[in-house]
Amino acid sequence: MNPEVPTVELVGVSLTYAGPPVVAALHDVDLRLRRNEYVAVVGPSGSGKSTLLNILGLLDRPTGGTFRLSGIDVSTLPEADRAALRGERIGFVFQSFHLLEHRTAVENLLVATLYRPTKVGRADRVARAEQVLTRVGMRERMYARPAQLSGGERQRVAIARALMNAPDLLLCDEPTGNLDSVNAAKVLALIDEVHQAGQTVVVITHDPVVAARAERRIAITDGSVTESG
Amino acid sequence: MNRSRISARDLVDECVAALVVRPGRTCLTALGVVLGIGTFVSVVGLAATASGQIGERFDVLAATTVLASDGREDLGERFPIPPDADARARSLNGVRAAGSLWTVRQPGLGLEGAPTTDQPVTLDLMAVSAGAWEALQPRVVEGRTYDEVADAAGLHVAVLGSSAAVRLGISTLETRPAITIDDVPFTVVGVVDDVVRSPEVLLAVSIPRGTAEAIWGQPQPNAAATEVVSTDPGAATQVADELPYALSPEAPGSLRVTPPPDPRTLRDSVAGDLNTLFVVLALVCLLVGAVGIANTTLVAVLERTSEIGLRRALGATPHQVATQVMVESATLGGLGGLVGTSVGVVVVVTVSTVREWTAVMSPLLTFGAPGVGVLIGTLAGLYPALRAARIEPSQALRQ
Repeated sequence: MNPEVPTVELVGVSLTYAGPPVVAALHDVDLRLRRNEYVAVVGPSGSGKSTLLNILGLLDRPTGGTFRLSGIDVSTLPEADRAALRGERIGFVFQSFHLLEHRTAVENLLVATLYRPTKVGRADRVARAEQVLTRVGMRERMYARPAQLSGGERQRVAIARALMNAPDLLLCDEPTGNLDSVNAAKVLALIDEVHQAGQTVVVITHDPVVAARAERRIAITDGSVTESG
Repeated sequence: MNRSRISARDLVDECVAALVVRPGRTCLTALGVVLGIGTFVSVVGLAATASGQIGERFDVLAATTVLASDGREDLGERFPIPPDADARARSLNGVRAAGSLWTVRQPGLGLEGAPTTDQPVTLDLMAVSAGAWEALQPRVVEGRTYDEVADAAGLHVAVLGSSAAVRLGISTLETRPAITIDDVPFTVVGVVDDVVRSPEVLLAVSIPRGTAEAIWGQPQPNAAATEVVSTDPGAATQVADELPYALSPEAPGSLRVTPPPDPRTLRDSVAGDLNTLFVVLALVCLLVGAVGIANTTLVAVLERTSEIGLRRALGATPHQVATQVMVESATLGGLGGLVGTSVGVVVVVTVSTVREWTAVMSPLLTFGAPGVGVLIGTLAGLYPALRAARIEPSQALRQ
């Protein structure tokens, strides 16, 4: 991929929920994220942070403007193509982990490979999962179920799952929101490592400590980007 | 652009994983289909088995028996069996044996056994022609039946039904027992059993037709005189058509002829009655099972909203989510169908073994029933799958 092509390019993006009542969740957002950039999106509750993440993650479709992901205009793509892009090029890390409780850590990672357009044999997928779990320091717990893991370990497994398909963009929604300070520090250190390894990272947070670790902070208020720097 | 796709093996693995997570719920959900398919297979199997037995028994005896009564009371006509009825009937093609019999009804008719009983015993007295014994094919317990010579000569001999012999206190013929009928002595020459074509003989004293006519005259109007005809297999219907003309050519309609029922009609009728009744019951069970699967699958979809959101975030399309729900539902139905079919087969085989029947089951039924389970599961999964496909991932992930 051409390194000059931005990972994310939003031009005049808006999202209005038809309602009733009609709600303008985002309006006229311009945003450009370079490859390997580490950005924190901050703002109060209800400001539009999660809406922005949903648009960046192709979970919601903007009602106005243009969104290019790694040079591809995804605003008008059919849902099936957006789903394929989502699976291959975007990794999600959620506040509540969203691990499948009845699967082991390695099985949770394999779920991320189920829907990939390019098929890889199961043995290769397991090998890849082991490699990623090793990277996040969870190789020894690969056969543990989520209920057997601490909060920090669960989030590390979730980060590993997000990295399984080597995404262009890693989206983290309040990644330390459910963690104590010790585990939060470990998870943030892991995100730092991932970024330093070349990953574009967007962290949605209202925690200044978390935001301070990013290279760039974007503030959102009432659906508009009010500060970027 | 390459689209998301999930391999069949991965899809099956995901479905199995989803079903084994809650084994209790899975079993209970499949139970509805188990009951429905089990009932369906049992009913159809038992109906086929039972009709097979009916056919088997029917073929042995009923298909070769024709009975002609001496009149049609519904028409107000009576025409006695003629004296040479046996010969006339035997002249028909396909007739193996024929004979006449009737109950001798005389007021105050008394029977006494000797020597063990000295009190009159009330038993029917039947006039039975020699040819009738050949047609009735009884099992001779002791002694013999009488022949045409005894019939023609009017000999005072009697054949007892096994129950009548007990009533008369006659347990053996070695002592050459005699009985008196209206003070007329008769020598007992035989005891018979298993008179399936005319079971009333078992409770009667039978004497030659010629003897009865000589003493008590022609049969009375209430004597229920009957010509029993034994035919070759397959000839009964034809014989039944011809018999009235042979016995009473001047008034064939005055005889009441009872032909054997058509075995196919009988079998179909019995099977049809059973099938209609119980197949409806089985369909109700299947419907209940389908509703159960639909309900449980819908609940599971709602419970797994967050998981569905995650799968969408990981690249699943709405179509793939719906497919997974449908396959899970179809797998439940298939499992229920498989177990239900097994239960149904066990029921049919067990009942057949206990009743000493030959189990009859169509391969189409046993191999097709699990497929019906899959179909029911698929149909039951349609609505939950639609609901799953409509889940918005951004909203689902907030849960």
